[in-house]
Amino acid sequence: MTTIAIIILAAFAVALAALIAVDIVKAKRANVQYHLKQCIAGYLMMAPAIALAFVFVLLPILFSLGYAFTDYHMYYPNDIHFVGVSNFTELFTEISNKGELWFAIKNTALFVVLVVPLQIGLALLLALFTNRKKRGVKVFKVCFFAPVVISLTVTSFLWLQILAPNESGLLNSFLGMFGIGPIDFLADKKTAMLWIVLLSAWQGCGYQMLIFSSGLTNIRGDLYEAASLDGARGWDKFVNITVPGLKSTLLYIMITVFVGACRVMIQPMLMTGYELHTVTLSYYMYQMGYGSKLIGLSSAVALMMTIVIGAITLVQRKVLK
Amino acid sequence: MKRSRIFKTVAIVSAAALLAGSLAACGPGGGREEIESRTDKYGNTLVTIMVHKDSSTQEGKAYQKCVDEFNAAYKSENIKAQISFVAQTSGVDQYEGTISTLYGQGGGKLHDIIAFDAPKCAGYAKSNMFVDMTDLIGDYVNEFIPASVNKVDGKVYGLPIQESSAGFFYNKKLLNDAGVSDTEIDNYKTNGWTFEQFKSVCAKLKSKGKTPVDMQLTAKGETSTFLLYPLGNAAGGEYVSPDGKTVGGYLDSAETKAGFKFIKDCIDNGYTGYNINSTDFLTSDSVGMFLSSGWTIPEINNQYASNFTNGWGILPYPHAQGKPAVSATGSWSFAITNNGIKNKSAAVKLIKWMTSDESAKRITDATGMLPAKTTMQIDYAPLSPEGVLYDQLVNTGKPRPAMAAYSDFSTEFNLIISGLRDNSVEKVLPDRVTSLQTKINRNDR
Repeated sequence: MTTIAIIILAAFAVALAALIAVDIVKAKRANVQYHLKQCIAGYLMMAPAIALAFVFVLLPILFSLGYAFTDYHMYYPNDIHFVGVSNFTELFTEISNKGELWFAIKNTALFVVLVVPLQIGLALLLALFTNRKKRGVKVFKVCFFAPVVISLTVTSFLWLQILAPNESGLLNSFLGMFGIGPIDFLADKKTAMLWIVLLSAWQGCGYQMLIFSSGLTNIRGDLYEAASLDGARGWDKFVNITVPGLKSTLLYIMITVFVGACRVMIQPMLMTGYELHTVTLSYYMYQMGYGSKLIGLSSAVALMMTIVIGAITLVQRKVLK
Repeated sequence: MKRSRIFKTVAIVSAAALLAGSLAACGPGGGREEIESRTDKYGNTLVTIMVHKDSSTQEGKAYQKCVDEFNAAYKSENIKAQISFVAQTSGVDQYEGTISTLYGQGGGKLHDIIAFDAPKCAGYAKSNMFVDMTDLIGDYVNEFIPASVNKVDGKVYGLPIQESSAGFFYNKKLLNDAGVSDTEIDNYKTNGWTFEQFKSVCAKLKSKGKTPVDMQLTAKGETSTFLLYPLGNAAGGEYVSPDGKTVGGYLDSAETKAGFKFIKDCIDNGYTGYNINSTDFLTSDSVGMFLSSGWTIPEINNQYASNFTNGWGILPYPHAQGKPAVSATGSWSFAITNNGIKNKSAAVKLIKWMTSDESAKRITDATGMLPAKTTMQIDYAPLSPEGVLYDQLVNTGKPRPAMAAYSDFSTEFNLIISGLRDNSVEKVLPDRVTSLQTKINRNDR
């Protein structure tokens, strides 16, 4: 492992040196004076960030990329072999046999399709509400943002108490007053994922609300005034001024919420455990790596996820630009 | 050529070179270092041990005390033990990740002795991470309850720190009110009871409007597997072949199915369920029996004793008519690792010390668990909760399946239990048999 890290570090240093060399050659050709000392000072200032990015971003990505083509097993860290694309063949076989991976893809897709519009819609509504210049609005803003600073583990347990499948559950005790239930919400194959969507949207929308709020403040007020003079109503102003004004903010939020949604794991892990009706791709990947100890196969799932998420993100950017 | 294009070209070439380098470096050996022994600057032979608890816990303090006593006893032989506490704050998976990383480095980076959860033994042993201790410890193995010793293919790879068993905790008042007399209860404790007798008691409790039994069907994870696996064995079934590689004909055998059907019957008849609050047995007079491990004994004694007006006790696992009773065993154990240190004599001395009668007593006193040694003076009253559990352990204890892919077995077992909520045993098992077999094949090296 250390040897590989050193090889990667060396290659990284070579690539960086090559870039500096290219800079020098280009400067000479263009007859521009090249200040080597200033250049080195610049790179030195960048060094901490580069080192962190190398250790925490580049190395894990490259290791994961490499492991996806090996039979790396957690109990055999010194016996790793290159296996070509057999990990991917294995995964596609599992999907075609409707194994756990198929359920993971299905559940993740359902989660993404539901949570992205719900979370963004909620965030936009809350931002519009809290952006009004009225007394007490800031209190609401703090309340809406509060779930963001609470850890997902805590919110998951909180919702577990709300949804507990007996009289001790908040929701069931309420329904019990009307003679309904108790209902095991998280065991129901049709509704469990919906509750996880609801919890996730509620927990996450406060953060997007803040970003939308900052986007809203950047829209010039005179545009609304002019539109009012022209007789535009609230909805017209929203569609013709607010939405276009938030376009770049919306693109950023859509991409970040989408990527975050694709990686959902904590909520199903804590709320239902490893169940076929709630397992997600990240949870499957975790289970494959830590449960089954198959790091190679788990890395192949990670690589597949990265490719699919990357591709969809690119499409989103193209479409929304 | 624009700068961005140059950058892209350099980046792509570098990435390709790095990937090639990574893959080329992946191969047998991996530069694992081997040394004869490890010494400190004073010339003491160092022997290291890693445990899964935090040093501030009662159990952690007990381990520390045992190590301190070892160091005092072996000072004249210049052997010094060092203990590391790697608490499972993020679950057992992280602990195992640490073990794997250190093991990969060789050169004594991984501790000479590590604590591990008993059912994981086969996986570690088959990967050569653990040392075969059979010859190193000789007859010392006979001091332990046979079912508690961690054996793979007849070889000893781990020695239990302590033991654990489970049983059906009962509320005496509720059972008596339902017409189950003390004599009948004592008879079940002494001679065991069948699935039918168990269901008959459940029916009586149900007729009194009580929830007959909380089988912890929603406990999830290893707890659920640990508590429920004996029922399949108690119906005469096995879960996998003796070599741990074949599921078909075992997990779906008629006998194992009978065990799952017993659980399903209890669910369908309303004797147990998935909606029972896990603290109801302890805090209210609404649940007659509660399937749990020995760790519930101190919990009741310390917090809930006053909730049991007529007292409480533990009934053993029931079994199918004509089949021998089976009970849960398996707690944490110690193993000597293949960590790149060739000389294992100091490690053998330490593992014997840590599992000696004195150490076992110190540790079980701290945890409330059962001792795993037959040489220790046991003074449990025969029908007391501890007595019932210890009696089960010695006479009917059966470890969980010894297989490299044990974690996968546990995952699939949990999926079976949750699947029984809406489906019959016949409908649930085929998919799980296929899935587990696939996972076992992936793990087979």
